[in-house]
Amino acid sequence: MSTAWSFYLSTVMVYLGVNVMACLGLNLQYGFTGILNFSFIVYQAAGAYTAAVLTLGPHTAAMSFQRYIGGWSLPFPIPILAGGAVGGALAAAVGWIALRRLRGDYQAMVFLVVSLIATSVATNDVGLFNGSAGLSVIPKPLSGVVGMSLVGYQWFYVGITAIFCLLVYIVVRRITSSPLSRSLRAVRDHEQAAAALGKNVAALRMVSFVVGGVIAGISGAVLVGFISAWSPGAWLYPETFVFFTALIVGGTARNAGAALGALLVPVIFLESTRFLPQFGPPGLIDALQWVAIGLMALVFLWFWPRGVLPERRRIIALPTLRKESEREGAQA
Amino acid sequence: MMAGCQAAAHAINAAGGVLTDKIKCQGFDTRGDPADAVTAANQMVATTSNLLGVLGPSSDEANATAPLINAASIPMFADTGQASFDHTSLKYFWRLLPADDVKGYAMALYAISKHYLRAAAVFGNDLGSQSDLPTLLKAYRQLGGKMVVTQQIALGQPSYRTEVEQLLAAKPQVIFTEASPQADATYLSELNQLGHLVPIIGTDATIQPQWLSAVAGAVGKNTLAKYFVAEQPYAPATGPSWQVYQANLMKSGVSKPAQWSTDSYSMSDYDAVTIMALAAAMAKSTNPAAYNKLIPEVTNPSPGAVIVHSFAQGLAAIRAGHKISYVGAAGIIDFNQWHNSTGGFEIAAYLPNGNLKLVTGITAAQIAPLIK
Repeated sequence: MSTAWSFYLSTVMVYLGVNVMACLGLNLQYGFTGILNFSFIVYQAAGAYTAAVLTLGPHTAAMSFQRYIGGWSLPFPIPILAGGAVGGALAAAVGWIALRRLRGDYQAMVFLVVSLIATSVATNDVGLFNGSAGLSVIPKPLSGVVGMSLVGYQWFYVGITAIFCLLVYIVVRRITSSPLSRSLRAVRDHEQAAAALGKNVAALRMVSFVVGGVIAGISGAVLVGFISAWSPGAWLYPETFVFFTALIVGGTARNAGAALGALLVPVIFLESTRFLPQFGPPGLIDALQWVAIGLMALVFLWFWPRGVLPERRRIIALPTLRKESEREGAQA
Repeated sequence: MMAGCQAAAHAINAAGGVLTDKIKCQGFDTRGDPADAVTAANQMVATTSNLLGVLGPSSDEANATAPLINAASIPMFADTGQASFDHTSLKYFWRLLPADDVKGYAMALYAISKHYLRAAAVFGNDLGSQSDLPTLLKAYRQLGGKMVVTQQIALGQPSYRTEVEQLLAAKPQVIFTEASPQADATYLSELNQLGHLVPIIGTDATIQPQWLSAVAGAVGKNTLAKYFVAEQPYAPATGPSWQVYQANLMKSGVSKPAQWSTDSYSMSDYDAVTIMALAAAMAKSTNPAAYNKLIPEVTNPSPGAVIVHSFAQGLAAIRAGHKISYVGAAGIIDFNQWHNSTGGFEIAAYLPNGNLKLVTGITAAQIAPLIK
C-alpha cells in the first residue's frame, strides 16, 4: 500500500471510530430514551474546544494569531477526559432546562435553538475560541513522545481512537444490558406508564442525556487531537442530522445498529461522494450531499423504519399467562 | 482558481509540457471546514497520481490541511491569508499573496488619505471575512480614524434591516466591507432604500466578478460605480508577463475568460503553476521533492539571472544553461525565508461597464510603519 493510501485509510479509520462513538452516545439518548437531541453536535464541539485549549498552551508569540480562553499544556489523556467531562457538564446544564418540564416536540425545539445559539456565540465571541477562524495548530497527543513517522503516527492514532471507542462501547453496553436500560425504554415508549410505575422520568432522561453528552465530548476531543483544528464550520447544526440519519439507517436502540449506521452514512456514503467527478458550480456536490442525506432518512423512515439492524423485541409472557399456556399444552 | 490554472496549463502544454508530461487541472472540494478538509486532502493525495502541486489550501481549512500536504511532500501555493503562515516552517508551503493582516492596513491608509475619519465595518461572520478585520480596526484607529460601528453580519439572511438602521444612526463617512455576494447585495440594497449609500471600501474578495455582479444587480451599476472601490494585491494588468497570461487565458477554454483578466488571484494561480513547471524543468524531474527546493531559484531576482516572462521563455533559458528569474503576471516574485512573496496593493474602482479602473497604489513601504 502506498504512503498516500495509508494516510487516507488511517484518516477514514479515525473518523469511523469517532463517528461510532458519537452514534453510540446519540443512540443512548434517542434510540433508548427517545430524546430528540438536535443539539448533539454542540457537546461534541464542547469536548473538542476543551481538549484544544487544554493542549494548545498559553498565549505566546507563536500563538498570537489566535485568541482563546485558558490555555494549558496538559498531557494525554487529560484533555480528552476533560473534553468528556465538559460535554457532560454542558449536557447537564441544557438538560436541566429542557428535560424537566418540557415534552418531546418542545424539547426538540429547545435543542435546535441551543445548537443555533452555541454556533452563534462561538462565531461572534472571538475571545472565546477565536471566533469563526477557530483554533488551529493544536498539538497532536503524544506525537513528541512516540517518535514515529507521520504515517506511523496516523496508525498510532487509529489505535488511540480504537481504545476510546472500545471504552465507550463497554460503558454503553453495560448501560443498555442493565435494568436501567429497561427503565429508559419504558420512558421512551410510554412516559406516563413509566411514571405510574414509580420511575423518575426526568432523572432517567437526565442520566441518559448526560452520559450521551460525555460520550459526545470524548468523540470531539479525540477528533480534534487528530485534525489539529476546530472551527464553527465543523459543527453546524446539520451535522447532528447526519448522526440521526446514521441511527435511522443502522437501527435505533441497538448498539450494533448505531455502529453500522456510523459506518454506512458518515463514512461510506459521505466518503464515496468525494470520488465523484466535479460537475456543476462549486459547492453543488456538497449541497446535493445534504439533499441525499435527507432523502436517505426519509426513505428509511418510510420503508424500513426500524433500520438495517432492528431493535430486538423482548416479549416476556406474564407468569399467569405462562401457566395457562402450559396447562393448555398439557391438555393437548 | 481554475481559470489561472487552465491558462497556465495551456501555455505549458503548448510549449511541450513539463518534461513532455502534459499539465491537467483538477478541482477538489474541501468543503470549507477543517473536519471535512482533512479527509478531502488525504483523499486527494491518495487518489491522484502524478500530482505536480496544489493551488490552495484556502483560509477555512489551511491550518488543518497544509501540514498534511506538506507531509506528503507536495508543493502548495496557498491562497490563505492567515497570519499563522507569515513565518511558516512548512517546507512545501509557498504564498504569492499578501497575508490578511496586511490588507487592513491598506484599506485604512486609503480611507484616511480621502479624509474619511468616521467609518463603519460591515463584515460577514465567516472566517475569510473576519481575518481582515483586526488589523483594519487597529490601523484605522492608529491613523486617527474612529470606527463608529463594527458589525459581524450572519450570512444568508433575507434582510439586514436592523443592522442597516444601526449603521445609519452611527452616520459613518465610509463603509469597510467584506461579506458573501448575497449578504452584501442585500445589505447595501437595504441601505440604499432606507437611507443612502456612502463611499464603500471593500477587500479584494469584493472585487471578484460574483460579488460585483450581485451587488451591481442589487443597487444598480451606476450607483455602485459612484461609491465603491476595493483593495487588491498590486498586480498591474500590463507588461509582457500579463500579456502572455491574457493570451493564454483567452485560449484556455475557461468560461467567460475576460472576467479573470485583472483578477490578482487568477494571475497568482497562473504564476504558481508556471513556477512549479519551471522548477521541475530545472530539476529535470517532476518529482515534487526534487523540484520544490528550486522554486526560489526560478523566481527570485539574482545577479546574472535572465528575466523571463513565460514558461516557454524560461524553458529556453534553462535549456541554454542560464539562471532565470520569472516575472509573473502579477509582478515580481521574491520569496523570503518563510516562502512568502508579497508586494504592495492597489485601489481599484468599479466602472458602470463592469470593468475596473486603477485609482491609486499603496506600497509596502507605506504599510511598513504601521506593522509593529
